[in-house]
Amino acid sequence: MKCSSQTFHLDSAEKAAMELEAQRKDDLGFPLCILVIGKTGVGKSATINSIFGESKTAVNAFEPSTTRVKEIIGKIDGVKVKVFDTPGLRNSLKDQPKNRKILSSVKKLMKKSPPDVILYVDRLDTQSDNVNDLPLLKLVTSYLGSSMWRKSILAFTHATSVPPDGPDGYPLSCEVFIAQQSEGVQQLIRELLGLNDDSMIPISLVENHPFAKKNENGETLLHNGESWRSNLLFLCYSIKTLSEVNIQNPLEQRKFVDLQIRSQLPTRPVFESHDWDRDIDYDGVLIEDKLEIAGCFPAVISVQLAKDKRECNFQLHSSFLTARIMELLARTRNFLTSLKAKPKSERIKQRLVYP
Amino acid sequence: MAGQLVKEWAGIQQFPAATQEKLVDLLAKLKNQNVDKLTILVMGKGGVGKSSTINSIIGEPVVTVSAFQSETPRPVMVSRSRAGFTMNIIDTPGLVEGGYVNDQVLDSIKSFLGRFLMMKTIDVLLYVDRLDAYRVDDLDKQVVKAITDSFGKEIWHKAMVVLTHAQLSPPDALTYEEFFSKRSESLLKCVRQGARISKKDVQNFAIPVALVENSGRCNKNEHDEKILPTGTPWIPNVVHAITNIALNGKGGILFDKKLIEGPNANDRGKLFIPLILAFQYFFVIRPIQKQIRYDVARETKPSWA
Repeated sequence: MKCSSQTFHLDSAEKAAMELEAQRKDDLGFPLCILVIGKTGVGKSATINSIFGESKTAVNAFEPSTTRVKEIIGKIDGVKVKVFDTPGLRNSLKDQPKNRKILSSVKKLMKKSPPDVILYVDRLDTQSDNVNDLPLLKLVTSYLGSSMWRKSILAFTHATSVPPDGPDGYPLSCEVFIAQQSEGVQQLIRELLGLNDDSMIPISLVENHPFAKKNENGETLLHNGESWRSNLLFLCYSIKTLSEVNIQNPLEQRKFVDLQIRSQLPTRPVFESHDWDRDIDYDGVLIEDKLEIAGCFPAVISVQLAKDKRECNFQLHSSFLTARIMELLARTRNFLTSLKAKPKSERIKQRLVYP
Repeated sequence: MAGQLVKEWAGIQQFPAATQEKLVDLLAKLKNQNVDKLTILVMGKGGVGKSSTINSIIGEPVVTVSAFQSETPRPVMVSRSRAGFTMNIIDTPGLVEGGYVNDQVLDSIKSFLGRFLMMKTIDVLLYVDRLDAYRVDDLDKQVVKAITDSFGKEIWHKAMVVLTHAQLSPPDALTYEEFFSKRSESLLKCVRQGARISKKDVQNFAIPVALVENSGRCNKNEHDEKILPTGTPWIPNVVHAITNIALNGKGGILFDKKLIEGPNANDRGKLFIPLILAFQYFFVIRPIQKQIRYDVARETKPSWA
């Protein structure tokens, strides 16, 4: 068995990112295109406004305010982001012709400019009769293709709404509530795709209410103290990265990527460094590095790639999501692409060097 | 329900004193008008809070509620009595399933009522929906239409709208009152459309709207009563609205065989039968007869005769 090793310097990637920022290069060449779909009144337009941090599209609580597919372009932290806002889908059978019209124009749009990520938006607090959504999800899947779920994120709005009372009369914990509500939609989608494992579509929680709790940067916080916007953006970029590397074998059964994001408050930095490789045989490869952004915010990024390249874990421990991390992801993507080129029988030992 | 022992409304004791007082007053008002029984039917889509509202009003968890099980599986009647006054509340499963109104559920409700309410009246209908649902769509109209078709348009003389999840923070920088007013107006418009209440008739069908907050974290006032964001204690408020409807002079919906079976399909368009026969006679049969006579007259002798 051949043996080869390779060293990959993430610090050089960071240097490049810093240089780019110094040059004030407007487009870091990693544009993001998001398609937002979902039922009417769930908060698609409001979420888009929150992502951009400004009111880019009209919202209305009582009437559908988005009547046709709209392209919204903006910059987030120096990265070009394009979002397609769509009219809301309706649940009743009578409105299926309207739904079909909307979905066929979305399909045309996807052909013209395929999105990197599809956000399926729904409310966290109105899931009790979500079996009604199955016909709608079926319709969406039939128009946009079942492969859409591979690059989808389930975005649940009203995420800081108070959980209802449990059977003992006391309010449910937020984690249990969120898990139960999101599991309902996950199950419907699994049923739709004919999967009987417990693969999961990545979830993002969203809170668009202007009075929700915010941190000192003005970012809206969830119950667990995290900024949902950073998490969502990171998820989007990760999905884009992975799909470009095309790790999953399309012929085999789809395995959804397990994305874990943890972010730390600036007062509790995390420093973790360990190289990991196995000499005899290996299940996968762990690439990990720690770095400092702007000289003061710590971050750890790790990518764990399984041997058969069917599973990949991205982890970011960071209190700050900046364009540099996007650039890092771009470099990681290039590296992973080069990985793919090597035959599976080769043992690959990857190490990282931290200066 | 002859022969059945009706439970004492014990739950009223666990309300704070101020609420108990108001409820006792309302019951007394009903008794003054010789009303010693009220039958309340609670209907609406699934997951809106029908069972929770009933539990809140009765004051004890009589109907099982689960946030995750989709809904009450079958109709349930809860009866409580106090000082000679009996209240029957009927909880029903949600009427919508998978994008359309579930006829089976409707039939199960009607047969349930047929068993327990034969020749008795429905005095009040509570149509329940959520305050924090932003949109009104065709499904809501269909639910209203199904109720109207089953019980007759007159049920809307004895109906009120109950909006749950009342403790909400309004979106879009609206004040609570603005949001409530817009939401009730759009829902009432939907009810009028579904029940085919014409614009002229709207005054006759004054459907009140009441707010309800069933969660344990409902805010309370200084008397420990559960209150709405406007400060009103909501339990006496809802019971007061129910009382007003009960005493509004319009008769309750009598539940008889005709109501259960629904309109006789054979009766439909009966009036048209003589009209169609007349049309056929004058415009089809007569001309054809004329034409036949004409042909007979014009007929020359056949060549073989």
